[in-house]
Amino acid sequence: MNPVLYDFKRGLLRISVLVSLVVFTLAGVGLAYLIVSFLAQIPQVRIACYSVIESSTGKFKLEVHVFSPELAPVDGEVKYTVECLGAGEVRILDEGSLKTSNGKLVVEKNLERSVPVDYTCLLYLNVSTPLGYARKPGISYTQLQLESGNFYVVTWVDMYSLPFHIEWFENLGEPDQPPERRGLAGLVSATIFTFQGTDKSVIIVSLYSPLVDEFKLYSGFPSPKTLEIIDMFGTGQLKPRELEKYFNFIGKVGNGIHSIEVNTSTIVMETSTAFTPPLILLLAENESRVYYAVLSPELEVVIPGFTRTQIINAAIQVGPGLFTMFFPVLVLYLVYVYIAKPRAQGALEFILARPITRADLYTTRYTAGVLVVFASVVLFVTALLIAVQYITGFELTLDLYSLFLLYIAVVAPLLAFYSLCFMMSTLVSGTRYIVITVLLYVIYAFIWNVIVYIIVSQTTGFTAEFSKEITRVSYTLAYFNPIELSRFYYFYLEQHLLSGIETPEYEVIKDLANPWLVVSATIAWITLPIILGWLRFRRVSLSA
Amino acid sequence: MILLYTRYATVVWKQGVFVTIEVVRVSKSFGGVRALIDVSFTVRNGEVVGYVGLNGAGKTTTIRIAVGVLPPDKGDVLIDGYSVTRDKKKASWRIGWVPELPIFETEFSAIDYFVYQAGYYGYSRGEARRLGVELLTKFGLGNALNRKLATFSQGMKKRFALAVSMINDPPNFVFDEVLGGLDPQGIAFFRELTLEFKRRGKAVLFSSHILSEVEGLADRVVFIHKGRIIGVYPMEEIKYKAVPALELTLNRVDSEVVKLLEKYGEPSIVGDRRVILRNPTADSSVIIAELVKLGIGVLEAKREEKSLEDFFFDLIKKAEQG
Repeated sequence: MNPVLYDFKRGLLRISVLVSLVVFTLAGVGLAYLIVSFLAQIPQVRIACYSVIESSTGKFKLEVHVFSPELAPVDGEVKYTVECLGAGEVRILDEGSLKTSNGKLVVEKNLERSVPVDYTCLLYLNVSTPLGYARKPGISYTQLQLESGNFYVVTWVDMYSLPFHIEWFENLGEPDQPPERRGLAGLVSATIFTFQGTDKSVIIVSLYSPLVDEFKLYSGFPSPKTLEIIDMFGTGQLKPRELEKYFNFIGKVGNGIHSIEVNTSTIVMETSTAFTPPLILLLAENESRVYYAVLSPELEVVIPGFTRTQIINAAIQVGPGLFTMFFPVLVLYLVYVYIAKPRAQGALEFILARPITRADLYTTRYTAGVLVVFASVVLFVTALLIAVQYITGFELTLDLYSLFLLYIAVVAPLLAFYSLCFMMSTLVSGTRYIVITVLLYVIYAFIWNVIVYIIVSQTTGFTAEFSKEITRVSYTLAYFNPIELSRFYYFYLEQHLLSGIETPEYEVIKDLANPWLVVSATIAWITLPIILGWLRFRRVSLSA
Repeated sequence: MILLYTRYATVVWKQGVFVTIEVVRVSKSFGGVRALIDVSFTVRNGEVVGYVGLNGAGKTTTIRIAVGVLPPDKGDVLIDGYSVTRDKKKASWRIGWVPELPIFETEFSAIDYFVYQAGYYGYSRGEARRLGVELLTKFGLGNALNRKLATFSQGMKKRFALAVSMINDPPNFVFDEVLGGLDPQGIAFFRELTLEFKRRGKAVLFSSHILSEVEGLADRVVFIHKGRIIGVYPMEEIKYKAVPALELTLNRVDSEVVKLLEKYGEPSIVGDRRVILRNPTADSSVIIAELVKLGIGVLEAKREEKSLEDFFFDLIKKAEQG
């Protein structure tokens, strides 16, 4: 059996290493839960809902759709309460807590009592998902007194989508005359989600109208001409068919919540600085009536991969960050087992009596340790990613470059510290090795940041720039600390995952994180101690 | 031995015999202490060479350099012509070593550490395990295959070191103070093994700080003192010089005197009037009486009870006197 593999095996399969790996992996899974519970406390899931209470019968319907920030369906728990106030009383009409299926929840029931006219009804929603929560403390039901009855209606899409009335009018007299009869036909809300960096937009519409089964949906740029056209239409000067010439048809919608994907360029005016949302027109007609609504919807910019990036960022900041911080203890112990202890005992001499050179012995043991580090990192990071993915249910597949950066971010500092320990093991052995390397570890892992803090507090003082200066000095000094090298790789990874979106620290770090310097420092930290260690090891007596 | 005729031909072929372990002008210092000074000697095929010196004389240092675990400051050691400094792998392939106090990574079991060591000889795990069971059993460790090396006695460790050194059955062997700390059974085992190696034509360097330990084993003895070689003697000569003797100073020494003395031992004339009678078979008074009867004047008679160790100490004394 190849001695490298044998040393690797005995390095990896040591009780201490295995226990540590299990502990780290469990810690990783635990951290994954921590990350998820952290994410779950961020109000970042989107919801769309509509709810109708038929006043006379007490028929109640609630439909809730839960989306991730990128509009992917997310499952979670929806707690709802419907409350009505009127005649000096506050009544809870219904409440419940239900799980969504494929991001959707539908509740249909008859309430125990009808709801009198002129009550104020409120819908409370509390949505919890692994990706975050959404709370809507009291969305007001809009009371619609229609021909078919009195309805309390909520249409809601994401953040602040104001509901718009759907109206109807009919001309019983001559054409081109102003409408003679008008009325309400329903309620509608819509929000446009534009995906940054793509030509994709999604319009989510929440609609209720007991009078019309299907509306045509149009969009138009909010130019003066468009507004004039709408005005003409509202006063009967323009036929619906003529109206269609000025708007783009984008789909059909009925009662409920609908997502319609469209090309951004066809509905949104994009300038160099902002998006201008379009006007949305709902249109339906039957024999004599025209049903319509003109909406000025909110526009939300969606950052593709935002949630994934957030999860990964949280995962890599918490998980591998801690791994990089604490695994060096195992690394220094590994070197103790491979070199420092057998050297102190004199056991390396017996191995060196085999047909190998000192260089073989040195590189064999070094390589075995490198393999242990690689294997441990792969096990840990993979376990962490799988755990996070399993818990969040979110696809965390990283592209090769991200994976490379993530592994390098963890492996590079460990290898650098491993090399440093390896060099130390050629200079001192046994207990002295342990004392010196533990001291180095404490300095690099803990005292270093205290030093940074002292430097900044002494030079800059506690000014508004303090935080920025801490970042600047931390990154500057990170080149001189093997464990801190990971800072740069996490920075590159974050930049890559955020696709160029600049974090607040970006401006400070971008000039300090010179890729050439980072790579050179990493290579230097790994190779120089090994070379210096070899210069010592090639001549040193290996007897006890 | 093709190499014999190429690169190392002039080194390995000396005086008509193969030189398989050749220590060539080796010097080594530790800090300011000169442990070895220009040490040279050879061990030939089928020969056991005793390497004798007091504790701290430099025996172990020489051996550690010879097996390639310690680099010399100067000089070199050639194993079958291969330099331990320049051709370490080939040299180490041809030499086995049982240290005085074998030290292993003790968390291993015997068989696991054997398999690990065999990896350096290119053995697969399965082959190494099979060989390990065979050799460890052969050397009396069959019931300790799975025991941790930490629990081994000195004797067991030496047997284990021997088994590892026998992985490729090398043609040269070095035993460093191998009999120290062993029970009589262990001593007998290693003595018999050394003779077995000799019979099989291996070159064996056998170090000890007790000359009598190498008696009956060594063909030659290399004496080292304070890092210098102070003598190389055939064992026969040492034994000859170390037997009891009666030194006589007579008024004459002739064939008649020699003939008489031959009845009582092994006389040798060492001067005009001096004779040394080795292994005297009678008391000195009887021999003197016989000489007087013949009319030979006995001017001085001195009884010498010299042992092997006396021989050794004489050498040291002479070396220190310069």
